[in-house]
Amino acid sequence: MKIHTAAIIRILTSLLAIIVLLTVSDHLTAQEAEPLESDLALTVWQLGDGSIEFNIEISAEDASDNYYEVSGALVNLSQVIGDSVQLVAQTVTNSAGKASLIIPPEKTFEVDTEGFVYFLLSYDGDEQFRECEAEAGFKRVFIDVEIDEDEDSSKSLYVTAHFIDSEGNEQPLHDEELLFYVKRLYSWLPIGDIWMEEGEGYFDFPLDIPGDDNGGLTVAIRLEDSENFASAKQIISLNWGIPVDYSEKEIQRTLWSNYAPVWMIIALIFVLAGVWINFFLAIFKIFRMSKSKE
Amino acid sequence: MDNKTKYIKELSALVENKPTAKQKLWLVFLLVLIGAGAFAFFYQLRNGQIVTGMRDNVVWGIYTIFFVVFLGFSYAGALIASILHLARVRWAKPIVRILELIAVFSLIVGPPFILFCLGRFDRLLMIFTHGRLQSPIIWDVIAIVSDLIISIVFIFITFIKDFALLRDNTELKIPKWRRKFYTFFAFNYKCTLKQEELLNKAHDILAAILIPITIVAYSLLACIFAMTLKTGWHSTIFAPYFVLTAVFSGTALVIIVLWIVRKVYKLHDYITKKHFNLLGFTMLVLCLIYGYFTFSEYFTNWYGGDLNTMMILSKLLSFHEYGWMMLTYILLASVIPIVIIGLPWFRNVSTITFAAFTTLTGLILHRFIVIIPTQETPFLPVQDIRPEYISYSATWVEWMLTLGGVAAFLFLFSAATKIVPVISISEMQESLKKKKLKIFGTQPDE
Repeated sequence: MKIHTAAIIRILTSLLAIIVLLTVSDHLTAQEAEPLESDLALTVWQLGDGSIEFNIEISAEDASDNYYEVSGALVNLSQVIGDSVQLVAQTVTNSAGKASLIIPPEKTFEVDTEGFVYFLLSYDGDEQFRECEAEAGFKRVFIDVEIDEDEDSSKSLYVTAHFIDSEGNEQPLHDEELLFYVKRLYSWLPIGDIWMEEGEGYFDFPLDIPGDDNGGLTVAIRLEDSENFASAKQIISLNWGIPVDYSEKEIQRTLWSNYAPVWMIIALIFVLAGVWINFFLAIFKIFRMSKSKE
Repeated sequence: MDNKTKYIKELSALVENKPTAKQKLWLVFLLVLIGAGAFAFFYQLRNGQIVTGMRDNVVWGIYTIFFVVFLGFSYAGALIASILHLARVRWAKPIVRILELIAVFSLIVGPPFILFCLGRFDRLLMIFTHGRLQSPIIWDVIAIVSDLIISIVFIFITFIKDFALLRDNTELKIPKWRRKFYTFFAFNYKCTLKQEELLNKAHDILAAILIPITIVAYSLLACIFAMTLKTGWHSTIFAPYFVLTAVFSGTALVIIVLWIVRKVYKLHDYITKKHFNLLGFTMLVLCLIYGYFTFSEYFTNWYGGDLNTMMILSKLLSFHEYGWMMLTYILLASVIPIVIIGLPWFRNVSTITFAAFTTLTGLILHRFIVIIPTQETPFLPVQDIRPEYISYSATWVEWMLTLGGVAAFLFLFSAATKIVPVISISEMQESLKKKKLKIFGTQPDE
């Protein structure tokens, strides 16, 4: 049977056209579509050393509820003073649409008549996503902790906290709840809370929490989602945990053990030796065969 | 013309004939599919795994299914070929070469499929540099690499005698490069007694080590699933179940390939109805054992009534989820082969081939049923999550890349049959020998 060249060319061209169509379809769809509404999610933490941490996440959703993480977006952090806006810092979102900004403690901000500092975080948008922004206003708050260890073996934390008023004076934090957490492998374990009265409070520390080899614990004291102060936290290290010897567990058989068990290594060496010795024996016989003149 | 001369003349002619227009078109078609697969691969490499249907829960999709399928073909081909060789089964002489070709080309095409699942291709070498000996994945990497090297050498050893015959056949009208190729790979074989003895010993040694290697290697592949604690995978019979499924699907593939080769190269004198009947019966026996294993696996799990197991089983039995696929697979891989091969009225070359085809399709569906639903049923409760992160659906990229892989296998097989005789000339000549052949130093009853 003769095959016409034209027919073959037609088939090949059609297949090529399908491939090209599939390749450009994504780009075409993206180009023709209207920019999507985007959303800027913001969380603010006032840290113990006086710095401020802004955590930003920009996302978007289309009409079919497909979720997009807006990566590479330039985010402006500005301070709002009355009607004017003053640029403080900039950052770019990562591949997950997230970015983080930490403003150092030496940076000072002008407060309004009620003692609030206002910030505006904005993204200008691009061909794919529309602009979006988020605002945060809060009073500067500072949490301090002192360790109080009694002779009768009870242990407590003496916590003091103050905020800065409109005049720039320190005022005691009153009628606000502070929450206590201990860092575990995956997240923070809540261990209790106290209400601050006139800028101070005592927290009786539980003595049954497993710590590291020396009983070391990482403890966070947090003021969460306050109307006036946003969120603030202070992190400290203590040796009040129960010391746990983890080395014993390391020698147990686990997939994440550093080394394979000895019996496994020996078995593998025997099996592989058995296979490869025979293999090279066969190769040797082929070599002898190729040199044989009999 | 005696049979010996007939074999040399007719089977040598297989590599002498130039490809017909149809065959050329077939090869071009396969190359286009391979090209499309390569395009899909680079598209995935550029855009990442997001272009596939794999997400947080289902991280092994259609690539893993075809990885398991191709390795199954490979191990089955090597295992059956080695057993037939060591047992000196005369009737199987015409099919051994096909088994060997299936074994090697499946082993070349299969492993890349698992690499397509890698999100970070640049970390590929870390498998070797940071591999953990206690991980079943590393066991599998070691087994596959060993098996690939030994299988390739094994198949070359089986070619030596044929290459020597083709080299010495002066009547053969082939290009010079082809003759040089045969001369080089004949390794100076002159058919002396000493050479024959050495070659046969090497052949026997490799066949003997290939049997445990293939069983161990495919069992290790099963271990990748079974050594996890996931419901549906954590089963004591997974390793033998995998090996049996491999041999079952490998036998089905051999029947299909035999049918095609017989038709394309007009080898009706060599590949006879007897071969189809015997392979068909083999497939029937394997089908019954396979059915027994499958029943045992699902029945035991169901009777236990474990919550997670019941969740998976309810998915397999629900017609809104995998019920239709389950039913189709049982029909294709069990009912049809049993009816067609078991009942003499339906049994002939074409129907046996049809049953082999349905079996193969059914067993691919079975791999899907084994691999996907388990991943869609994690131990932790799944709430408030987008459905595409739970339910797996292969994308066009995955299908195109998979199709490219299948085309690569077919291309390698089709191209190889133009260079080496698809039926071993030397094996056919040996089948004429009247003397009894040694099997591990004993004399078999023939």
